[in-house]
Amino acid sequence: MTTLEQYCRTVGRDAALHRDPASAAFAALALLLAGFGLFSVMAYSVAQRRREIGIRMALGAQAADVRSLGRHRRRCGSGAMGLAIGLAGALAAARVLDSLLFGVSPSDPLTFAGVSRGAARRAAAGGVSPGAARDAASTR
Amino acid sequence: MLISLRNVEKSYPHGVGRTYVLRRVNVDIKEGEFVSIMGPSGAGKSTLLHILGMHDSAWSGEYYFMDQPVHRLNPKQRSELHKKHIGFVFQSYHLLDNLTVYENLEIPLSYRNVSRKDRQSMVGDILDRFQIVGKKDLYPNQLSGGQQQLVGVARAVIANPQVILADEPTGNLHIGPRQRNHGAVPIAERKRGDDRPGDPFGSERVVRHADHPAARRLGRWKN
Repeated sequence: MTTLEQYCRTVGRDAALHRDPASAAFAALALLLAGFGLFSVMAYSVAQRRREIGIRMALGAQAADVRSLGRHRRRCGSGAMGLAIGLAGALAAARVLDSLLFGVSPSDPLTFAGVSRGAARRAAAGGVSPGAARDAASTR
Repeated sequence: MLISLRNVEKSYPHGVGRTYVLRRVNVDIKEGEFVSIMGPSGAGKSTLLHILGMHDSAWSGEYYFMDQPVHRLNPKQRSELHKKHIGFVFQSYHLLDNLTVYENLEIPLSYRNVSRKDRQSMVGDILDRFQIVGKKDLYPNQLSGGQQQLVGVARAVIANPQVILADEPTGNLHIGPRQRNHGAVPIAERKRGDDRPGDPFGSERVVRHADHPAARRLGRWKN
């Protein structure tokens, strides 16, 4: 047994997805760009610390120490701050998207948690990526 | 033998040929020896020191440190060997700008599995020996060049390494009598049982104190 309201919601969501693939593509592109931007910023900020990393290695730090330094500080510092600002902005902007959403609340906790987790993982990856900490760790 | 170099060479590709920074360097240094390396600018003094300090791995030849073949060790093994036995004073201090004097001195200990309590004690002791207790909460940019160099020397000796490599460590130093007896370069002298006061920081004195005749040959090592 399906109520008329449930039926309309399901049909409406499917119709929206099929009718507007461009929106879905743009959403995917936005997610990709956000991830790439976040990764780049984190990798750049770690690369900026090449001198410090070189000195630490000359004083006895191993590559693993350097990687954990980048991972720990980056993730706990600017990464967390960026995540908090992004979440606050997303919550504020969510109301604008209310009319475009089907079957999901603008402040859906699962969506926010999932996106936050993904962003945090990209930030952490930026701290230990090739060209960033690993590259700096090989500085001699 | 503490340090033994055999046909150590370092060169860079330059056009169709190569430019040699060091060529066929052979030297033996025994435990307790105090060696000065002299030579004109560009002779390769710093390069040689960085090879000895295991910061530079792009060279050829054989390097034995405490009978261990450094040239055959992987980067991790070299790092372990360096960490255990070598203290390095850099020519340009290389203090970390975002850390205080205390934190800078703590770095070498933090990579040597020294407990927090012992680290505090060792840093306190070295601050006292170098008479820089009052500077411990300052950042490097709040110190004079001489004070930064003093911190750099203190950082090199804090873990009590068996070998101290110093790349022009005394240029900016203004040393008082107490620091002469407990400070930087005299450590090399103390290691060989010579604790007399004096001015070991003048270059003439450094050369006179050098045990090793090969120390004065660096100018000829470069071809």
